[in-house]
Amino acid sequence: MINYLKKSYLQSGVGVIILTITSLVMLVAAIVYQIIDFGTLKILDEGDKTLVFIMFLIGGIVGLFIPLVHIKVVEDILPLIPVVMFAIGTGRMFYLTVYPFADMMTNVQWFGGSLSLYLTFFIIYLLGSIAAIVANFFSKKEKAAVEIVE
Amino acid sequence: MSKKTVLRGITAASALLLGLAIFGRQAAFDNEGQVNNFLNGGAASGESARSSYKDVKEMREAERKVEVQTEAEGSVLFFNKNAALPLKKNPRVTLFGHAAADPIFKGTSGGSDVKKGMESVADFKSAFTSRGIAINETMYDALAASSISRKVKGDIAEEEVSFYTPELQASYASDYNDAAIVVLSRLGGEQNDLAAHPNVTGDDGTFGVVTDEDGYPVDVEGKRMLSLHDRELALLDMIKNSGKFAKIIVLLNTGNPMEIGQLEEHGVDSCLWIGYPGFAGLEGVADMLVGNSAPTGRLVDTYATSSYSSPAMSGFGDFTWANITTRGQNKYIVYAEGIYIGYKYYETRYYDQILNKHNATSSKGTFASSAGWNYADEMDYTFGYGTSYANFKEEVVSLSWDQSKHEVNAEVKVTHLGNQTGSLYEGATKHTVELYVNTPYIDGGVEKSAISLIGYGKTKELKEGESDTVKISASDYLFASYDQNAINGADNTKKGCYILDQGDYVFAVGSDAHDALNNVLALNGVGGLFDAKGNSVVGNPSLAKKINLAAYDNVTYAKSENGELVYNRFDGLLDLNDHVDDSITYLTRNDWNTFPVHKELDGLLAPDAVKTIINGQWYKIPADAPSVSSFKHDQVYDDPIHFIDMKGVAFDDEKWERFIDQLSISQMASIVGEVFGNPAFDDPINCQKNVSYDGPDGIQTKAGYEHVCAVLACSTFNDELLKLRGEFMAEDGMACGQQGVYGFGCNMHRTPYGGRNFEYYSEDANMSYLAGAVQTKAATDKGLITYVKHFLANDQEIWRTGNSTIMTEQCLREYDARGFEGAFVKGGSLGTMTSNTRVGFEVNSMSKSLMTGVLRTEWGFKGLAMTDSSAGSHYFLRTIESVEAGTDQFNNDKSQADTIRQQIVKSKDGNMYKNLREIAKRYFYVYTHSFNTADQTSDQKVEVKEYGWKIAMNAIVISLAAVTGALALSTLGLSVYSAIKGGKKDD
Repeated sequence: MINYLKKSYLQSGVGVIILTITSLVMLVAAIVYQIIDFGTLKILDEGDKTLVFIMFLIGGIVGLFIPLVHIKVVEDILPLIPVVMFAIGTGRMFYLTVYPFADMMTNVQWFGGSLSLYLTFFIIYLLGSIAAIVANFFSKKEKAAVEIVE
Repeated sequence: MSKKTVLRGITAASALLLGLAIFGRQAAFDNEGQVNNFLNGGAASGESARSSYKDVKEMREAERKVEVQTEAEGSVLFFNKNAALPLKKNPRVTLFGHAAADPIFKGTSGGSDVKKGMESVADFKSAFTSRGIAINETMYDALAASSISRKVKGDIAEEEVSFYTPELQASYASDYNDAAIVVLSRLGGEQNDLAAHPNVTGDDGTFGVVTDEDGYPVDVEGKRMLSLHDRELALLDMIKNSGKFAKIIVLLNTGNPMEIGQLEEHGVDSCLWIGYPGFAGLEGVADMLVGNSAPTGRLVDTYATSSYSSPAMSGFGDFTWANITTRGQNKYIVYAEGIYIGYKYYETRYYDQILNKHNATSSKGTFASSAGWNYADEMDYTFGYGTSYANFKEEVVSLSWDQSKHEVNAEVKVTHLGNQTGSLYEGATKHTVELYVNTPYIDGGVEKSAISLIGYGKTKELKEGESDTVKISASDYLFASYDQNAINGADNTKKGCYILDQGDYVFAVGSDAHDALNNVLALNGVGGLFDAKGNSVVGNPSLAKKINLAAYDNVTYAKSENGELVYNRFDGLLDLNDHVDDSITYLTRNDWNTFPVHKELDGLLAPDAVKTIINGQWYKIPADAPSVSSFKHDQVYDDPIHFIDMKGVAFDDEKWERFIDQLSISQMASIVGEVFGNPAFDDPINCQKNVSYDGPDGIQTKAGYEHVCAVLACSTFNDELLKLRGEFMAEDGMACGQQGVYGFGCNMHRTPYGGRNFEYYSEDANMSYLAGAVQTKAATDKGLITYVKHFLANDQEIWRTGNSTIMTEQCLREYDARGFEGAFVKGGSLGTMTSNTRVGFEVNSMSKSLMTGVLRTEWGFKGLAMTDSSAGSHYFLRTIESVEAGTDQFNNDKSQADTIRQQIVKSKDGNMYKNLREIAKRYFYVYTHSFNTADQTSDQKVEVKEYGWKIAMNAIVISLAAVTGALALSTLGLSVYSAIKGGKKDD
């Protein structure tokens, strides 16, 4: 089993490695995002932060398990799933960032929230999404990194 | 990379773009009003049949002249030693202070875009240069290049004295030293009280406060933000000690009263308050400096020695219920000062100090007095104060109180005695006459200020030896007291009404509130009087007149002008003492030891009954609600009634019902979800779209015009200028194609620290009543819909979202409500924007007592009542309760249309349907009064057009969705194809 995991991960192509690392980063970022207090954005109810978290949680987990999937067609399509999830999460993060940004532009802190935090996470998510897109341009085993000898 | 991976990668990229586009679209659509303003705000249509000018250019030229005049007539000259002002012609001066190069044109809230460098905006350099004042450009350029940022809250944004390097000091050693002009500034605004602190954010998004050990707010330096800071005093000392300047002039660029008592001892020769000048005001400042005009403004706020010393400051800031944690419900403030706000506190306590009554000289409430409370120690410049380049003499020609007509009439002859000795001023000067009253106070009875402004007037321009007689007429309503304990004289089953006690009323003219009070005391034969500096004075009894009211009157004002009963409508809703005896001690002049203490007001317990009110879920469909099916909708007439056909139709005319019957429920509901105006209605109504934006000192658009701030306009004490200001706001609306403005601002300057004091009129409710009436009437008569705001008790920015405002009904009636009343009852405003605070324990828009009881019933308001921004307020603002209470629209919140529609359609709520029809009627009724209707004809068809940007965004999202879907399917197809063909081939 362990060898299978090692083989699956270590024989992955550069695209899968990028996607796996990206997914791990996104997952960690999503957890950090959920923990940090952004100040309350007044357009939100308490649960509204959850959508972003869930998207990155699902996307991150799928991304981490991609090397383990060796089913034709599925393994071709699966790398798209994290990107779709990341796209929704990043889009939502963009939506949230608009409000404190508007506050900054008007110099009136009406909507509340922390622009710096929202913007930071938006940029992280955007870069992660771009990395995941780049990963999708590579095939699963393209440029295998290490040969495993059993 | 293979074809398959390339296709997959492109699909992924398209998915990301789609995600961003979907949420970008949502953000834009959720805030479509702002987007429209951003995209279209620069477009000035400029044409309206209602305009008094041939084109916008001509209108703007006239507007600018009035602005420049308003600045001069509103600026207040505090002192002018040795006739330091005006300067000689073509002076060479050096400007000091960060604001000299970075002036505050307006506070940080609504209004028009105004920035230094804009073509229409006069800054100090351009204004001074235009009036022949040569400025030290070395110093100016250095100040302009400063790294100081004014965006930091709680910071005075001033240079350290080390900024003025030896090189800079050399720049005025031998030139540009006719005068040092020091600009000191304080910035306030929306969500930005003068005590706002950048490092503390409340859960309503507002900047919080950091307090000193007594609970008073401090700025980032730990000081009273309105006090003169060490940096400022060091700058003045540097200038004085240089010995280079013939004169030192201080200009106060602030909307809030500062602590300026130390200026003279730091070498300042003259001090002039200039407010926030908007586009053109600084040209008026330049005019005053070189003697093209004279400052003739009078204070509409008290300048106390300590900005903390008013009792209202004890109830200002951040107070949390001990037993409520829910966001939007857990905060409150206490108006423990009762009616003793601003000068009414200081002058009433002075009155008792002189008469040695009511513990006036106790240590309670002392901030600047060395021993017991002493007026002269606590006061710098009182309400109504202002000097000028000239001296005047006032003589009362006649003063009478017609008790049958309930009118006080005064004629005051004003004579110009000549300019100050040594003055270079050669022009004419106006003079303000202020009329006050001292009402009989019964110990322990209804609270009364010892002196109250009831009217004012201004002379024409006078030169030495010339006279003018000013006539002032004032209703005795303005000095009737609201007595919660009185039996209503029109209905003895009700408690509470305005009363006039039997006894002596002393009317007095004075150069300010204190002077008038001294004249009252002098008439009463009282000695030992003194002025704000502690100098002995004797008062002038000839400027006062005593008139007796023979009998107690609880009848005259037991009903409103509208003929409706005025009685206690807020029992249990406003005052915590209605629930728990003595839980709050309100200040009473019967014992000045009741001066409130900040810390004692914090952590109050809300009884269950109060918690229920605060929760606010009280609406149930009434048992006698009409059936939804009892109303007609979507009616098609052979001869349809167009919107324009309703112009001039009386509000109560039955034709309105037939007109409304033509609408669908969705159309009616769309009115409720306001989006900075409302869209057009096509056949059969044919009503053009209406656009409204934020004011109140200018309409918030790139094509707008920012006027001098409201507090400065009010300080002119000149109704003619206030009227012109209202008319020009309407002209601005025509020029910008905007039919409504969220203004004017009738909230009170409850404390010196209110962030938006600059855009409200005064600390005095009667002043706000009078100024609001004039300005609103002028704008309304010209067809601008004024959403007078923020109705009411929005007197601080900190925790203004859902915070309770605990007060007595007397305080509400005589203070917060009175400030608005003139704009509605006398000004005929057709709109109001409610506050996001609570009146007592109820959110204002959800308060039936306020919205229907006071506003619509007592005051006869037939206009539109709209909430403040509903977007971002759902956590405390309830839709159905608001509509049931009498609120019509929810600002910036399209989603509310669906909420009300669902209530009618799904809950089959006929009562709400009835309300919605009333809302629709009010909406169309109001907009028949818009200047827009002057350009419409009955056969004119209105096409409902979607905004181009909305069509474009929809197209982008749909296109991206189609492309992404197609790419995804292609990727899948290719993958399946590859698998069928042998899998690895394509890899």
